[in-house]
Amino acid sequence: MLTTPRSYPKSWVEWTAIVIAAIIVLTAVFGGLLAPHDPLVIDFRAKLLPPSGTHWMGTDGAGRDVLSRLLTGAQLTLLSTLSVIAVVLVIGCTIGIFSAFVGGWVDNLLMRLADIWLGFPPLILALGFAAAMGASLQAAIWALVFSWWPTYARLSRMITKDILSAKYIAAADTLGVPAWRKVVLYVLPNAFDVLIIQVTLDIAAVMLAISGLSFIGVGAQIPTPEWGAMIADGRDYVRNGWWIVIFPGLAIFFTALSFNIIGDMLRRELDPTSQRRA
Amino acid sequence: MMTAPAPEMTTETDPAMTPLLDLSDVTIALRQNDRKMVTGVSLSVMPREVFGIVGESGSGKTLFTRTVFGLHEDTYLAGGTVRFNGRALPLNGYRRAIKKMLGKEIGYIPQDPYSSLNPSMRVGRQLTEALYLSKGYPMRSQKAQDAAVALLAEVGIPEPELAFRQYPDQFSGGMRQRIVIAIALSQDPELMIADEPTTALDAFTQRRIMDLILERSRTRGLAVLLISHNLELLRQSVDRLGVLYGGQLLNVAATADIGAREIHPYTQALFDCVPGRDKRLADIASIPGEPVGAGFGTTGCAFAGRCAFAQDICRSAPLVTNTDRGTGFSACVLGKGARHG
Repeated sequence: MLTTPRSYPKSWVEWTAIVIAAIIVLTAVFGGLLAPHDPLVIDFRAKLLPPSGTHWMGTDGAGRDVLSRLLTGAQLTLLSTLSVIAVVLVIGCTIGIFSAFVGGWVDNLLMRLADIWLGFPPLILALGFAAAMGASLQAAIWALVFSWWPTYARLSRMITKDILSAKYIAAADTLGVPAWRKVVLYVLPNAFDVLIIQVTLDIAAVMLAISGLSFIGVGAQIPTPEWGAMIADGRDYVRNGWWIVIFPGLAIFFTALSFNIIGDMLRRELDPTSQRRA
Repeated sequence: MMTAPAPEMTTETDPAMTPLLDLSDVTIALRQNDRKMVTGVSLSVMPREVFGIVGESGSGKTLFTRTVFGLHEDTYLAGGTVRFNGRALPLNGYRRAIKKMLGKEIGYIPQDPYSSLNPSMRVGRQLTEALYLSKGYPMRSQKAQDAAVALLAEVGIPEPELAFRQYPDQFSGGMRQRIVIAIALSQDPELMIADEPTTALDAFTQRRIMDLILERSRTRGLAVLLISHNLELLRQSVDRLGVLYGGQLLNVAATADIGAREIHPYTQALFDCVPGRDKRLADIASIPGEPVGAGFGTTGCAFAGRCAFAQDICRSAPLVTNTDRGTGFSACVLGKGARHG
């Protein structure tokens, strides 16, 4: 619970994850300023250069500096991930909490709708969005928003139902606490732990999804320095330019992994239902 | 100046005194299948009176109380009249009407202090929230904070200023129950419902919490409706006692009468089960047979199957109800425990 912050000893893996996540977040904020070269400038005289003193991570097939693209791309990748999560969190929780409060057939209808929605493959949705809006990062973001909200709707509905059946809500009823105050003062603070865990775990998942969509070509397009798109662009050069694929790949790998580890760590420390806590 | 002699309390209710809470022939049914769980309960609680409702587990006492005060989702008031301060509440939309009075005229102390406080809200905030809802004090105002600290001090919390800033899980069960009582008192109610307020606490704390409730209500002039299955606690605490069994109100007795004069056989049997200082183990009599649950109905006495005095008529006669709501009442068709004169 939030009210009893108990610290568990963190392992070196978790400390590493925290450090990596911090570096990634800092990179996302300041990455563009640190980039030694312009990430978009094409220089065919300098194409497919291996890592060296001037180009630490080499250059890609069009002579763009991979490190600069990676640093600039951090912002793009993290920002689009966070915007997906933020929108999905607001939409999902609004629907979920509303559904739990109203109950009855409205609740049933909304939740079945969420179930059906959840059954719809996000890839098909993304292709649909790409077809309608033109393949772009925005299309990928919208596709993910549309396919991700049911998770949060169902989660927040479940938590809300749980909280609404708690005795402190019955006690609040005897004071005449109106519904909107219950949401703000009772449901949201008590749902916070579970939601923050889900958000941390989803950061990794959404980031992978965005990069994945960009990789198959329905997301960000070259020359946008998005990590997935960079890999897609570099795969033609794998034989004579491994660095083009490896570095963005490692970036995705470490980001996803460290956020996942942090999510698991938060779950252990915050989630009262977690087994490991006992 | 001539002063009229104080009228003696008689069995007839003083006509000048309106009961604070007046229930007449209240019947409670399940929403699901309209099964009548509590039938024909009539009783009244006078201003400043401490009235106890007692019953075994499953007798319908909590169902009864929670429905009458609009806190139960699955049941409804299927019949009868509820008057508060002489004002009758409508049977249609009853729940909404009574809920409006909760947190104003009616205060409620819930059963379980461990889970009745919002775990993620500071104690002070919960009090200022209650004060805001009942009196409109702005939550962060000095007025609300002073009132909240005063309430914490009133219920005997040491260092109320510190407690104001703490979270509920930093307190013991007894302290939490004091906080819950402070929240209920913050509403300035006329009637305080205490639904098994001490069940979750140890015996010593039970007594102290009960004393606190009684002392506070006496000082503030509140009536208390105390629901409990703890007979000794009730005997020591309340003025009058209503006994529920199988969803029927079998007896209303002044606590002074218990052991002093004849009361309903069921009430007598209940008190015979209570261990006491002057009782040896052999003196404690258990009631034979299995208890019946709520929803016995209105034909026959719910206790007839276990009663030592039961005759055929006990099983067939319609339920006697407390229509005139005198200070004492017995549903026994054999006339046991009925007060005369």
